[in-house]
Amino acid sequence: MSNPLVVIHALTGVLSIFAFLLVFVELLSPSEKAIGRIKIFAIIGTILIFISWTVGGYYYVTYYGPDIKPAIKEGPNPWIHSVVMETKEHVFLFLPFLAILATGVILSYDAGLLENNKARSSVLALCVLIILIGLAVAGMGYMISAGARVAGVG
Amino acid sequence: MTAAIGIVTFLHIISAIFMAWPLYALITVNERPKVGAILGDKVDDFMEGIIKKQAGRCYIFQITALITGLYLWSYGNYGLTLSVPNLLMLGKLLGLFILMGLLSYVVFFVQPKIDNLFVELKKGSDVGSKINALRLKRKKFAATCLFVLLAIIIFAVQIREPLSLIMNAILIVLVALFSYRVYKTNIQYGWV
Repeated sequence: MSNPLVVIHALTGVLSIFAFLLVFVELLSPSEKAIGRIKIFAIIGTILIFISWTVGGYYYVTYYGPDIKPAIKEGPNPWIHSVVMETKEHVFLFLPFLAILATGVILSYDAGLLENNKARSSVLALCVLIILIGLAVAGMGYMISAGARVAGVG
Repeated sequence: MTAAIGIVTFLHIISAIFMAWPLYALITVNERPKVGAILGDKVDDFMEGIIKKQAGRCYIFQITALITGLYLWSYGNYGLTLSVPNLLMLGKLLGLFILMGLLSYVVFFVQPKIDNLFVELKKGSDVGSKINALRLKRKKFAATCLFVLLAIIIFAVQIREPLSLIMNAILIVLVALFSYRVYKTNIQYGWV
């Protein structure tokens, strides 16, 4: 059975992707009613990314570093840590700041997003970046889980 | 099977089922002439609105299928080698990316042109033929999406027990014929 911290880390991460996906979907054909929902989804998504970051960081320091990492590095696929985990750790760092930026733009433009196509396109582009980086990070997370299982510690 | 894997499998399958929208979109579009909808009237607007707004739902189902699929792969003990099941899942993943790409092309390049032409149409411009040409393009994309989706399902059913190459070729030809048939005409009897 997975460590509850990994479950919370993965679940909050995936839900944050969905929160920004909902922002993206609402912005495709926005209405005045949708602006309120867009703000709520963006704030929830940003909070979830920070929860995922904190829980993931705590898990890394407490369990992954001392137990899982050495087993993966001594197992048949050491690149799972040296390439995938290292990439995930660094690429993830874009997400909290992109989320803050997207939420900041949404909150400052507010209903102006309905008329200002450039601002709307910018937020859409930010959402696409958050979703794509989020999906890549989620994929790497699942690879690390599979790698840990192969190494006999998952 | 643990409860979590059962729930995720359910979500994965149900997302794939809900991704069958291209089939129903093509049926809807093929039914349009029967109701005699004139370009830009209420019936036409109603059908256009449904088709346009479905894009957002499609993204949600696609990403649900992707995330649940990754979870099922991770917990399925398939390892990290280039085995047949892993190659099939890689094929599914590429197929899903193609679907996302096709959908994004329609959402960001085809649909805005259609929307702008409808604005011009309501001002009285004669842009009917341009709208119909773009709608035909969108219809072709829907048929391609249907074919890719069916190919993904062909890969999916073989993950535990792969079929022979000849059987794969036959199934691919059949789904191509089915997609073309749905594109060209109404499928009054389900399969034909």
